[in-house]
Amino acid sequence: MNGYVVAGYLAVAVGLGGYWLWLGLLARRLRRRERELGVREGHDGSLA
Amino acid sequence: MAALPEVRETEWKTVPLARRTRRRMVGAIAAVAVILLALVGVLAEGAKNALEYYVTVQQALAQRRTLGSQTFRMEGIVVPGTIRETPEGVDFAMRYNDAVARVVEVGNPPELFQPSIPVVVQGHFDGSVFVSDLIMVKHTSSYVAAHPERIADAGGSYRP
Amino acid sequence: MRSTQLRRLRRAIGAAALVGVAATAWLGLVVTPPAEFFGNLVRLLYVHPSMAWVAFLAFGVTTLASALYLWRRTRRPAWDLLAAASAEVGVVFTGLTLVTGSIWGRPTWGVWWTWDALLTATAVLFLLYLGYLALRRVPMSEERRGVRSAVWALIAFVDVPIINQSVYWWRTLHQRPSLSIGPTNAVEVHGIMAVALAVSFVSFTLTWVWMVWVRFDLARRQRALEQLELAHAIAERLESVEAGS
Repeated sequence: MNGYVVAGYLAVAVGLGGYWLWLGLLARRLRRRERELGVREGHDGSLA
Repeated sequence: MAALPEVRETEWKTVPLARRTRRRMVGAIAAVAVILLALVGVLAEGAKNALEYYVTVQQALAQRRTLGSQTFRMEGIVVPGTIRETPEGVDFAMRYNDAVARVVEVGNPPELFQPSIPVVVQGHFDGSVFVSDLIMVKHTSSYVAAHPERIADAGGSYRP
Repeated sequence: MRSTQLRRLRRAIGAAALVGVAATAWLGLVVTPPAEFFGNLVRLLYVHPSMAWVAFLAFGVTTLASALYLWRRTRRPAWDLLAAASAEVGVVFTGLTLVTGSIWGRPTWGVWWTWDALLTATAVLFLLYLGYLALRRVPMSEERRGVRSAVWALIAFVDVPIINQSVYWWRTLHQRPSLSIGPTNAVEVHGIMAVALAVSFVSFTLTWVWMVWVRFDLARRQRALEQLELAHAIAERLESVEAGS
């Protein structure tokens, strides 16, 4: 397979995968802080 | 009045927070400034190049005297049967409508360089010859299977 | 809809996106044939245009949400957060548009980068929305941040139609779009290759929906948490003042 093709697909995988990991990290940090403050699990921070 | 010292003490607590906010402020404004600067740079480079990205062979030949030995980009179609490999690169003719120019390229032509395709070359006129140091292939967006009848043979190593 | 149902829907979209992206890779790398002229390089067709499409879509939603925030009658913090979430994901996709384009440009055009109108305008787009995200990190009151970033977003979006028209307005190295809707344009992608292209558009769009949803939800919870922390801090301060008096 052509190296450029592999590089292109890899770039997409790294870019989207990286952002996905970053979202996971944010979520974990947030959940920890929520637990510290005693916010109930799964609230949606409703913005009425 | 006796309460004053205690109030001051709680005020003291807010100092590190304020410092953190100020540091964040400076950092964020610096980031905005760097991005704006990059934006100005990109726009300047774009204004210099993008507005008249290339002239056609026909236009270039018509303006040859005013162009002199100035560097610019020229577009045309590679004339079949004129490509000759040289030790430095490649030598070929390029046309646009009836106007034809001879191009001497110093450096490697790109992978997809071939007869009858539109290309953009970058360089300058040296007499009647266009001396180029960069060939760019200006392909169309026509994506057609190489072997429509053997569509299952996907891993094939077809090379253009 | 109840929130558990919504969460289930979000998870389903995420799963569909994942399957779709895997299918795109399989179609693009294994099933589709090499093309005339491009050879195997045609396979980058299934990752590059879809990135650009999602970026435009993302910034379109950012613009819409920003306008709704700016209009006083529809001003809700949620619009501001949605605009930001979509812009952030849009920046990721714009970055990938530039990277995949560069990787495709090198073997086909012969250069990693050139300053033609379309490429320049895309680089400008990336920087404009990166600037939008940077502006949002400057500490200021919520409403002021919302208004300022919304105004920036509205200005930045002007670049999207410029990019779309750049190949018609100026001479560029970049070719004109491969898929255009309308009877006058001949479809230049055929059979299984067109299928792979369509699958890539759908699955990366789903990926965008899922990412924006998750990011928006995180931002909402973050905001709620900040308000809670503020309430705690005020209560603490009041307590200490009262204890001192």
